[in-house]
Amino acid sequence: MSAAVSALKKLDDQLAKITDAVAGIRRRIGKVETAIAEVDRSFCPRGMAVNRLDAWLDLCAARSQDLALGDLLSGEGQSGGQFFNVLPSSDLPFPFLVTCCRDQVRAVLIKRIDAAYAKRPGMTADDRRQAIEKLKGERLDIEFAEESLIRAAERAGMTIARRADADPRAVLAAEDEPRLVNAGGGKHSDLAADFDLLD
Amino acid sequence: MTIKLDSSRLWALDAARKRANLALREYGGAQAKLAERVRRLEGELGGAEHQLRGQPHQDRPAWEARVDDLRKRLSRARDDLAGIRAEHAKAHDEFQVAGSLYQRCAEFAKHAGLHVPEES
Repeated sequence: MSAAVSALKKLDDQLAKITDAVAGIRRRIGKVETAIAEVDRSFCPRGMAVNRLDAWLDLCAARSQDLALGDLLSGEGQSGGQFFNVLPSSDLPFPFLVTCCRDQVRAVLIKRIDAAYAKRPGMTADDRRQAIEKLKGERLDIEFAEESLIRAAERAGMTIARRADADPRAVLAAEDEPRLVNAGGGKHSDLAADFDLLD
Repeated sequence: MTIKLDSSRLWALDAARKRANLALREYGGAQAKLAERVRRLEGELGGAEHQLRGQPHQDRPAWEARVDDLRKRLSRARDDLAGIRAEHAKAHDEFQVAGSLYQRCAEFAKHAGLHVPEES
């Protein structure tokens, strides 16, 4: 009887350890997900932002020509003495501001751009794509380690629920898929051996 | 990089989905039984409390003991019901997760050109 109790206790301990190990792997997956989201939200390179600013300032300056002066110049006979209806429309003051003091406006906005880049660096589209690909590869490696551990637990008669968003490439990987067998650079194998989970 | 896939892995996912469904049904059945038990005990307790109020002094201790016993049993049944409700909610989540994963993997297998086993 005590041998059976002891065996059950050992199984319980192993299940607790393997559950902790899987939880640790899932925390790593969460961190990689966060990193992917951060890279995805990264700014464009600073030079591109400055070019966009200059293009926008050019557009603003061009729009300042839109206000017709005719009504401002008209005599009382034509406007009935009411001049408020010929004031610049609400979207025109900024273009006029840019026309009158473009350098000052640009300096203020450049300062804000630099403050934003001090907190978060910019990336080119290629760099962003490459960084995301690299992180996704890292995530898949971790998912292989997770799947490998779950299958080792299953072989030992334990059930660990998979995540709903687990990568199908890991979940459907054949038993002899090298990335599954060598998951985590072989660390997983050591981990499974620690838990007596290897066949 | 090519990854060697095996569509028969879907069977393991299907089995997990069915296990989760079974657990969900079992907890659902147990929850219904416990809810019924709570309702019955509430009725019995209400009746006993009513009876107690109409008893002569010498008969009150026996009825008080019965009311006390019913209150304790009702309290235990309510605790059990709360526990089963939590387990039922957990089983529901597990069933959703297992079902969602199976569907995603089956879709992936189809797009990858793998043979997808028939659902049983």
